[in-house]
Amino acid sequence: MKNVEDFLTNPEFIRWVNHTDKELGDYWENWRIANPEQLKAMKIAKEILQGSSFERVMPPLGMKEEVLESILRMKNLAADKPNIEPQMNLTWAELFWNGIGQMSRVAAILIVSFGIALLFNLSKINKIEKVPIVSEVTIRKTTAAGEKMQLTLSDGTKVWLNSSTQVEFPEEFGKDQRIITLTGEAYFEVENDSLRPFTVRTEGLLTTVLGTSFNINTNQSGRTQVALVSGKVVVTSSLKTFTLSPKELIDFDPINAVFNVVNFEIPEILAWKEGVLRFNNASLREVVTALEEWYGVEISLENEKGVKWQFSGEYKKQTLEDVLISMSYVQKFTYQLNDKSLTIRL
Amino acid sequence: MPAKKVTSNPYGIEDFRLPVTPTFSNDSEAWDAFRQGNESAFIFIYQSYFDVLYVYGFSIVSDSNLIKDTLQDLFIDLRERRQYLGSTDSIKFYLFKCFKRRLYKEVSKRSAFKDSLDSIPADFQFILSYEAQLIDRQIDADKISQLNDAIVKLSRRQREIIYYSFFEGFNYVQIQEIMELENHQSARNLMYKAIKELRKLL
Repeated sequence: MKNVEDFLTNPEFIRWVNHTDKELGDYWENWRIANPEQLKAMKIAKEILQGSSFERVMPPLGMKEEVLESILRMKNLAADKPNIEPQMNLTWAELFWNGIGQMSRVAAILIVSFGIALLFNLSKINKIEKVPIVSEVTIRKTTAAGEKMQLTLSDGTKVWLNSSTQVEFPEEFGKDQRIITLTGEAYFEVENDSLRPFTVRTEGLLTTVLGTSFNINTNQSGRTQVALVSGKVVVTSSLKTFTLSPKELIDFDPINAVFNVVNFEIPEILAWKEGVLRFNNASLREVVTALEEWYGVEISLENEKGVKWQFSGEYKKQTLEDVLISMSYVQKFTYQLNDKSLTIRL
Repeated sequence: MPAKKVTSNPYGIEDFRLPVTPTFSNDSEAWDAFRQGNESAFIFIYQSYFDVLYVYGFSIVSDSNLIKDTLQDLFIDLRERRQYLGSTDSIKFYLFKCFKRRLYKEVSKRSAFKDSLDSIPADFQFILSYEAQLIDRQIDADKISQLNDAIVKLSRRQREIIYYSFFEGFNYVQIQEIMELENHQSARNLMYKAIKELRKLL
């Protein structure tokens, strides 16, 4: 007989819930089927684990690089001893740069200028220390599948995060720029500040704005889509720079280095933000992926061979059950929903 | 053994804080390469664990400079003594243990001649959040806030053990070692007691 304590003190259970050990999945799935009377305790334990988050204070921007540099420099001092060839210096420097990737060079310059701008702002916080230190705190916000989140940044900018998304930004923005890093999908309503451009970093792209609203999605198989609702944004990669007008969407495919600017319909792109799950001639795969993301469930399909869907529909703030009832009627399938796993029989 | 890792990056923009792409299949392999003098293995280890060690350090003492200096000394030392280090199958645990020992030493050194109150430790605080989107919820919002009140009242050691277990994924043998407990049964007992405190409310 297991109770909540037994689950929460079991390292294997914890590892399973935290997804760090895939092989344990079968064990606990079987366990659950064999012990239906303890399902409630298991669910409570799972909920506590998934809902708990630890207050992570991340290192200030640039500290990791700075410390690494000093560590590697230490080796340089040793290399300066007479019995070692003077060329060593160069080798270590090379190793350092190559080791952390080419673009870090540019980043390092950025950190330096960013850091200087911050010195003044933060000196008042550290009253104890005579020498002002740069202690910028980075905040990281993450949504899991099935979760959404709305944030207001220190400058008043509003950000909506879609499921499975992560953003990172400093607790306080610097004096001359506002930078946020994104993976996933988010919608921004940027507070106007002509002196401090607002930049969103995504893989391979920088989107810079001066007070505007737009949607960025990096979830589409490695591509980045920036959709502008109002205002003006500049999208930069190392290859090209684009200026977008409202209702224009840029689709960037980093693998083939292809840019496409198209017009888009605002409701379609922003449906998720209003809690609307929308399908427009979607394939079975697309529907399955969307449901998994939206409701945080795992879907397995049975008899999917040869089944082709062109499904259209709109669900505003509906439960998964309701969506399934209506969808199964239209697409003629049966399903079984157990906690977070859904089986669809076609 | 991969030597220098040059990230292919034709577009010129990259998150500079991402760790160097892992090129070792497991911890022992990376650790052994590092001990044999492989420089990219050192950088790989450094890049992979710096942030998580910093976060851990901040739970012990909220003094960014002290954590930074201690981390720097730790990595310098490891690098200089690499050929004398033992083997490990969990680099993370190895680093946590070394780092904790050093940090405690530094903290006690300082508090000997300086009022230690200017650095208030974060004390392994964690919170439960109410996820509005969750289906088939078992715990309601009221209970969540009661639980959060109870978490604050746990002892520091109780929160510390929950931190290792929930958030760092350490097992009881590792927890026993890092918390200097008698045996892993006492680690298990400490954990059980902490959870029981919370469970009272459910």
